[in-house]
Amino acid sequence: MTPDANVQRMADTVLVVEDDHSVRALLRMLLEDEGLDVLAAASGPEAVELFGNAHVDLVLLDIRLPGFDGFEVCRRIRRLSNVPIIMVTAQQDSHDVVAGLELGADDYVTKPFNDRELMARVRTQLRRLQLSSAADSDIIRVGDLEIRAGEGTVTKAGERLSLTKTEFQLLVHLARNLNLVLSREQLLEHVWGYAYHGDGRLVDTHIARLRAKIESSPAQPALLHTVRGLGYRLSVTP
Amino acid sequence: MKLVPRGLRVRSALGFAVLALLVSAMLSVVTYQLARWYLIGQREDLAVRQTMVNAQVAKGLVASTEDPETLLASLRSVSNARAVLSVNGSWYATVVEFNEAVIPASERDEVAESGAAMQRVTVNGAPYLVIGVELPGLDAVYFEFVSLAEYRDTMDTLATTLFIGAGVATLGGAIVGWLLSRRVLRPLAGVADAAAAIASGELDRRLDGAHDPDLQPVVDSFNEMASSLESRIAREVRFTSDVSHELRTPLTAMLSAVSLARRSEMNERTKFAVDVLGDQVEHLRRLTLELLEISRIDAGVAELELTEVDVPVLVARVMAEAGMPANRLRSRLGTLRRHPMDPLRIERVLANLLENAERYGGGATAVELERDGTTLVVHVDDAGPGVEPDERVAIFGRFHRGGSAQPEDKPKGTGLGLALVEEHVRLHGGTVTVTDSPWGGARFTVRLPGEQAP
Repeated sequence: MTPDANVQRMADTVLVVEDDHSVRALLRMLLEDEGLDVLAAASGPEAVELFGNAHVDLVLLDIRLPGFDGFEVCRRIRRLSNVPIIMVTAQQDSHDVVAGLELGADDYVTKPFNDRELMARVRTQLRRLQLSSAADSDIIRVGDLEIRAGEGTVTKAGERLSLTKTEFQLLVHLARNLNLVLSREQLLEHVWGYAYHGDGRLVDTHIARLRAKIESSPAQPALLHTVRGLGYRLSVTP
Repeated sequence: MKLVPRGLRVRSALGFAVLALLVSAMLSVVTYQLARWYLIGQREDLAVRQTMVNAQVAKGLVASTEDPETLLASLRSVSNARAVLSVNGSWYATVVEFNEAVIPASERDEVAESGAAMQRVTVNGAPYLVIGVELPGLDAVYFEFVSLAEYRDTMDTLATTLFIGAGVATLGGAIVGWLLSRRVLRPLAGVADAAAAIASGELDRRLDGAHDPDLQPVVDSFNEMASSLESRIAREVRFTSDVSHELRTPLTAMLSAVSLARRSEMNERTKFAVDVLGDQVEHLRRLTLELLEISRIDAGVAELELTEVDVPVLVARVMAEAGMPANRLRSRLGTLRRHPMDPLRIERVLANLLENAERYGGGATAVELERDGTTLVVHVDDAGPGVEPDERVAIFGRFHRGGSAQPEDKPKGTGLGLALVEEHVRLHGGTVTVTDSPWGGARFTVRLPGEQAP
């Protein structure tokens, strides 16, 4: 980090939601060292209130919280915003992961995490933010979808859709590879930045959420097809 | 010396057979005696009446004629009885074999004493009844032999019938005992099944309520035992899980604190101390994660997320991450590259096996993929000293410390790596074993079934 970087653009703000005092303080310091602004909340209600009153670029959200839990925080934030959310879960194979992803979390880390792991996830989410806001003027049309990658907007039959950053990134990547089958691993690497050990459920739950938004009848997808055993493909032909 | 057979069913069958034998033998004897008593009584009545009639005829004849030859001829013509007549000390017999010689002296004495007598005799091997009557008013006694052969045949037939009947009853008793003991033992077989199911990990298995009130206490105490076992195991598993959970937050804090400390200027001593702290905390982190992982499997809450996976791709990815050259992967899968599995778990399995090879076997020398029917077989070979035959099961135990020392230049192992390998593979219904590699060293073999066991 150089002082120039701060001059060029405003620092991204991370909302850390964590009930343990020392973990919260340490995360604040580690994230600030990365040149990020940090807001911290110790409970569910405090997190939702802080989120309503400040500009936040990323939420780092623990599940076990006083007041109401991380799932509820996620649900309430999603009603207001498509901000990236990283869930902090106990176990990779627990229901927490799927539950969090289905509520709209973009990614997750498993506690106890080390700072390299955490920073890698945080940077991926924030970089994506910058990438999609970089000038990119092409318009991709798929069926009745119109994707403006530069603006970060999607319309279906002229009507604007509300996608999270991850869903948008997923859609853009699939649209740029129109009619090609992309494997879970390819999507994990491109959209989530996982070179290894990516969790296929990240892709599956986000595809399901994306379908719910872009398909007229998500149970019989006309655009976003599952290719059994291989991956996913966006195309107007079945 | 014990002659009582050991098997409950054999004992039951024998017991019933003996009981049936006793009952049927007793019944047979009684039946035989009653039948004999009744039949012989009937026969005697008939014989006596007939003899009386014949004696009257003989009396008439004796009174009307003096000539013995005429008397005998008349006697023969009147009845075809085997009669012997004693008149004034002379003996006349209608049939030669039945003469005064075969009439027992006691019979003659009794007739002389009381006027009539009856006795059983055997003539030429055949049974006869000899009845003697005094002819009143004359110095004469009339004897008649009545054959009992028919009666004896009847009794012989009856005895044979009863004997066979007793045998059949005994055999029937044995069969009833055998079948009955099966009925009795059937609930016991249910108990055995349930116990075996519990032993194989199906902890929530219980016995259904017994239809027989006598068996209900057994069912109740069995179920009670199973419940207490289940809750005890659940408590233990939950404890491990809770401990690991509670360690997560302090560990996160420690990891973050170490990272933060490393960013500052430190002198040699402080740097050494922080490095030790960092290594130990990292070890503790891995240990906690692996304990959580294993306790979730123990608790039975771990779920298999099965998908069709391109096996060589997955294996190559794990190998690349472990820093292993891609040319050490030998796939004999041909075009059948896909296999159903939980990719996260199998990645862990392979990563742990590669790490184990790195730590104790001088690094993995080859990963081979092949198929055995529908089963996917993965071999991981290393160039180490191999695993002693008596260590080959124990090596998968938790916190197993083998003979080989922990290498000091590598981060400490958690002692759970191979245990987790086994648990993840078992969740897939597969097996993991260790043998000698054909190239020297150890060979770990993972077998994953094609169709998941239900």
